[in-house]
Amino acid sequence: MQLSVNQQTHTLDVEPDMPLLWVLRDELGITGPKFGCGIAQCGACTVHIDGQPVRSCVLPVGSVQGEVTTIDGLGQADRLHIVQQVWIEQQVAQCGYCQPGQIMTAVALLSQNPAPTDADIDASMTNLCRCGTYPRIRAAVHQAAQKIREVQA
Amino acid sequence: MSTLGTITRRGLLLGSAAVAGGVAFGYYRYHQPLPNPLPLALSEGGLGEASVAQSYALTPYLVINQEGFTIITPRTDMGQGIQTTLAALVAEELDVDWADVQVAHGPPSATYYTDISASAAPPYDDSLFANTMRNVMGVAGRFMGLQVTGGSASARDGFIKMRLAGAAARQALIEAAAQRWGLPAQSLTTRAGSVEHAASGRRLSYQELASDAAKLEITSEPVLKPRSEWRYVGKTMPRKDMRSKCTGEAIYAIDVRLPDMLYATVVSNPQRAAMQSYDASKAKAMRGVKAIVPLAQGVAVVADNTWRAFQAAKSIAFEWQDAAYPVSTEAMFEVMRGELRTLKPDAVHRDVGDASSVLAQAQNVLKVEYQAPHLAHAALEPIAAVGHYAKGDLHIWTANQIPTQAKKLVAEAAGLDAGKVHLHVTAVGGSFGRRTELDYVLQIATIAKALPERPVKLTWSREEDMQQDFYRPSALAHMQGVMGEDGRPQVIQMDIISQSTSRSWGQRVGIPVPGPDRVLAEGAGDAPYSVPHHHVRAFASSLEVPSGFWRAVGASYNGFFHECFLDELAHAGRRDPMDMRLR
Repeated sequence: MQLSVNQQTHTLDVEPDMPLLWVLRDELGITGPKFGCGIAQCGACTVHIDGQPVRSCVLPVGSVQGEVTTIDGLGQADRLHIVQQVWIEQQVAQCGYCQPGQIMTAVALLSQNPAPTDADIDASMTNLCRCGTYPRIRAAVHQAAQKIREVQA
Repeated sequence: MSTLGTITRRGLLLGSAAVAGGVAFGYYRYHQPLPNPLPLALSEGGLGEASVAQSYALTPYLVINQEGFTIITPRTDMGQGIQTTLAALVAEELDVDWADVQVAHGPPSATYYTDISASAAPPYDDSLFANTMRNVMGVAGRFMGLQVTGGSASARDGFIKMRLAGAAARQALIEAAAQRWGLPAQSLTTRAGSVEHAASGRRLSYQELASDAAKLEITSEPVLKPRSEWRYVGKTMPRKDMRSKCTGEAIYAIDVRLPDMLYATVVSNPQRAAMQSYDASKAKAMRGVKAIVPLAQGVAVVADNTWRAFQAAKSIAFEWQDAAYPVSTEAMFEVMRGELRTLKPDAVHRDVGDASSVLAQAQNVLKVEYQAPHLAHAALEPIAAVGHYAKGDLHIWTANQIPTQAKKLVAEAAGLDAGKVHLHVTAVGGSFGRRTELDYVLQIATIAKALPERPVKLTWSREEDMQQDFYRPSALAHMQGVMGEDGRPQVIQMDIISQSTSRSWGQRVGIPVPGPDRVLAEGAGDAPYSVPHHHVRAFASSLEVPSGFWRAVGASYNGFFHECFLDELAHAGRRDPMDMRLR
């Protein structure tokens, strides 16, 4: 089985029903996506497949078609993704465990909706944060949206 | 020789902290030198990002090398940002640029004891441990060498200690420059990681001076900056962990990776009692399964992938012993209702006026029962730990709030010298009190010892994390009250019953917690109201549901009980509840 993650192709020998999360974390050593609940409820495991956000803890690796992007491959060390830059500027994270999933979800939202309202953000960003950073997340999404629009203008 | 100088300086630091903190007792012990744990930690393979070569531990809180300044922030950062706070205190007095500062938790050490009594300042926030612990652990912190993150104590404990650590190192660096140049120390100043002599324009970086400074003994008390010169303290500082938490590079316990590592999970009796028997024959035949390790109340399944361990764990048939407590919440409340009639109070926490006599004669007594359920911590990072038992040394990477005690109990359980147990405290994906417990640390010790030379990562399933928690205990309160003619509460009588979290925790982690448990009544006994007849008693239930520190603990249910009752009294007296409180 072949899997492309962060623009690198890997050959795997795993059961097709193994969730993508555990392939990433334990087989490939990519630990940015987190294990939180195992039932697609918390969103800590969110990655992109061809730009679409998916909850990798329940997605069988055998069903993955397309390029997988994780937080680890979202930006480059010297040029982080705008959403990551804003997350740092706004000091969003507390314990930080949910933030890779939050950021991946936010990036996907902004690629679909360049000017989300609060209601749009609440509807799309269903990832859980036990520290309660939701107000900062919302503010950061608005600011990232504005920055992306400026860059594209 | 460098360590000798350092130890003496550290002794001075502790003495200074004691005096400046106004702590009168324990004088003798303060002046007994405690070791600087850093030279050993460095020799054993480094410290966070500080490389070993040419690293100088100027105090137990500072390592200088060519890459910059690694500040030891020996408190567990569970998201509260304490490592940034503590590093800023050192950086302030050391006089270095924030960009040049790295932080590391450092090794568990009695040197990093927490003075929990530092949290005894008014008013009455001080949730978690503090209310119970301040009496006990204010002493225990020093005399037992307990390194604890909890009780809202870290910033208060570190406020002077960490600044003195920075100031002492700065003073040693100035003295090293003074000797090098043959100039009086008073003629030298510091700026952004360098010592300077303004008159001659000479300048030496801290790195260039570190090796000399580490050999020096400073002879005078370090002087702290006046508040007017603070650059960092009191300012909002960018967090040291922010970037790595936004790039996926932060390493939580669950992310630690070692070469050739195996992956484990555990299943323990959901009724929190012994395991009678199990049949793992199916599990053993499943792909990737390497070992089944029996534990006190369950088993660990070790495989070559966490998901395979999860799958195999589900296939094991168990026979469990029944719980030592009733199985329904309602039945537990019934037990506590009965115990309110039969038990003696654990303590009376407020005794103003004569509530019982006034109640006996009053007409319109409002009687209410309140209940609060058990609550789980449910931190987003499930319990995780990595263990490696190699060549007689046991290394454990995990998140824990009582690392010195963890090391001690692991050594006892594993039959090892404490010097053979190495605990590495990682970033933490939330805790809320859960990581004051040692259950999982002891589990990984057992698992790692069963598989010598192979690193093993333990990850609990979310289900296990919820089932095997040490819960905020359920609580029940019987309230009686009377509104006065003047529109203010005349009488409040409150009987609270819950389990003593402090005592059950203390028993589990080997820390004696004598005396009444103030946690039972916090948020009620100390409620900020003046009521003519105010009586608050707490009862410690005999229920044995595993319970522990959960955020505010007592205040989380008592605040609800006490404030709801005030609202009900206001309602009964046809008063606006806010207006009544303000009168």
